[in-house]
Amino acid sequence: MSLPREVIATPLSGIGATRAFDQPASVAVRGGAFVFVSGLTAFDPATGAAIRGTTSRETRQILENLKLILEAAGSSLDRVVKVNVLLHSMLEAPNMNEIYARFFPEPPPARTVCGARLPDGVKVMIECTALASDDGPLAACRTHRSDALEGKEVTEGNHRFPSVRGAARPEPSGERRPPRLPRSPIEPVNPVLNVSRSANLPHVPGIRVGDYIFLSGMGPIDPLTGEREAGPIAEQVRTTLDNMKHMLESAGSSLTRVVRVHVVLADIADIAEMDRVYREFFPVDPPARTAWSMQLRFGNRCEIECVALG
Amino acid sequence: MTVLILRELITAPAPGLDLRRHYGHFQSPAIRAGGLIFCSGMIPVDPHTGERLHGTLTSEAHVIFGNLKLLLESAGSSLDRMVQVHALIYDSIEYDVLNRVYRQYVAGGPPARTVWSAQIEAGFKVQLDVIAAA
Repeated sequence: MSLPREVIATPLSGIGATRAFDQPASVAVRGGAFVFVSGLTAFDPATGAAIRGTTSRETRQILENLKLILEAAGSSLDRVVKVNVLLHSMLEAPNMNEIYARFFPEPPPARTVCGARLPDGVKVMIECTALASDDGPLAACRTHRSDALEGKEVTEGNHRFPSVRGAARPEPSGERRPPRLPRSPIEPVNPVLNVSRSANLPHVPGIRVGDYIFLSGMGPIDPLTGEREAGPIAEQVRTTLDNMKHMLESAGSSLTRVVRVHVVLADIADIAEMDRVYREFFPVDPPARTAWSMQLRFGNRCEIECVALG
Repeated sequence: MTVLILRELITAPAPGLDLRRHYGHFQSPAIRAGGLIFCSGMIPVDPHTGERLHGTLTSEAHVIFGNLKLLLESAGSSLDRMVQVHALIYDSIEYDVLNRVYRQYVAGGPPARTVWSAQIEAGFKVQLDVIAAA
């Protein structure tokens, strides 16, 4: 039984995603227990106009907007579990950190900060994963799911998700045992696309854990020959996303169940062309997405990874 | 029946791993939520003193995996329960070097992984960004 996946439109008219967030991505997507927020750059929440300033200025604006977005998505800053910060230069990390520390209540989320090439002269980009609220937008839905560990079907008459240990079991007093989700690798039906096996690399194509599937980064591999494609960006993105579709469907999931995507380009100038192809694969309610540029291996022009509901 | 989904702080299992205390990074070592453990970016620091241990990519990765093992095991998880790793390296030319050391720590069934070439804080050569099953 599938879990509910809900794309959360940001209902604040001021934070109008259409102008400020002109990407084939949703600002935030709820899937399972988490809300996935796209990589945000600084914009004016009233007008949607981009703001370019110092790293401090951009960081402050992004986090103010993030607060509004999370609240619109039924979460909040104190439910954020992980933040990824991309900076145009790691020399700016202290400037970002100083502003950042004013926003998150104790204890702060886990965080990773790194330097990368960002689009449009942006100095900071911030994405995050947060726990959805129990009073979130799913409140009105009647959700139905199977219990991850006990194989029990639990029909929820409200918005609350049952614990993986079984909703009806009373909490033991004293020490609380954390749930242990089953974890297993996934494989593509087409063995040519199992690059980690053919090249003997120390990773697997993807891992299923609980409600989620995490895929390894994928590149433009020809599904017939296993050779890397060296074509223009549009072709490389198309091949990569075709392969991702195959990988997800091999695991019983699909592109419509993707909640978060990371797109890395060798050349940030390829972003518009990448978007054009990307839109074809996610025509409605697209996943949260963060796109930036880094040095890629093998002369690839793109590398894409995702998290999906299983 | 109400079951709250908890967000729990995983504290530093050794004094050197509290990067907030040593370097002012406004972050928790890890957060457990929804059956997963989200770790902050792991850098090669001495687990006792917090001193930065710059070296080769190989030596830095050994230190990081040692620290990661401490952190995950203190949270009731382990390296074998890693789900997703973003391995950040300073230059993609070191990809094979990374794989050689990485392989030693994922013998129990490797996780999904993406290798990114990025600028890492303090001129380190490698940083691991990890999600594990609790």
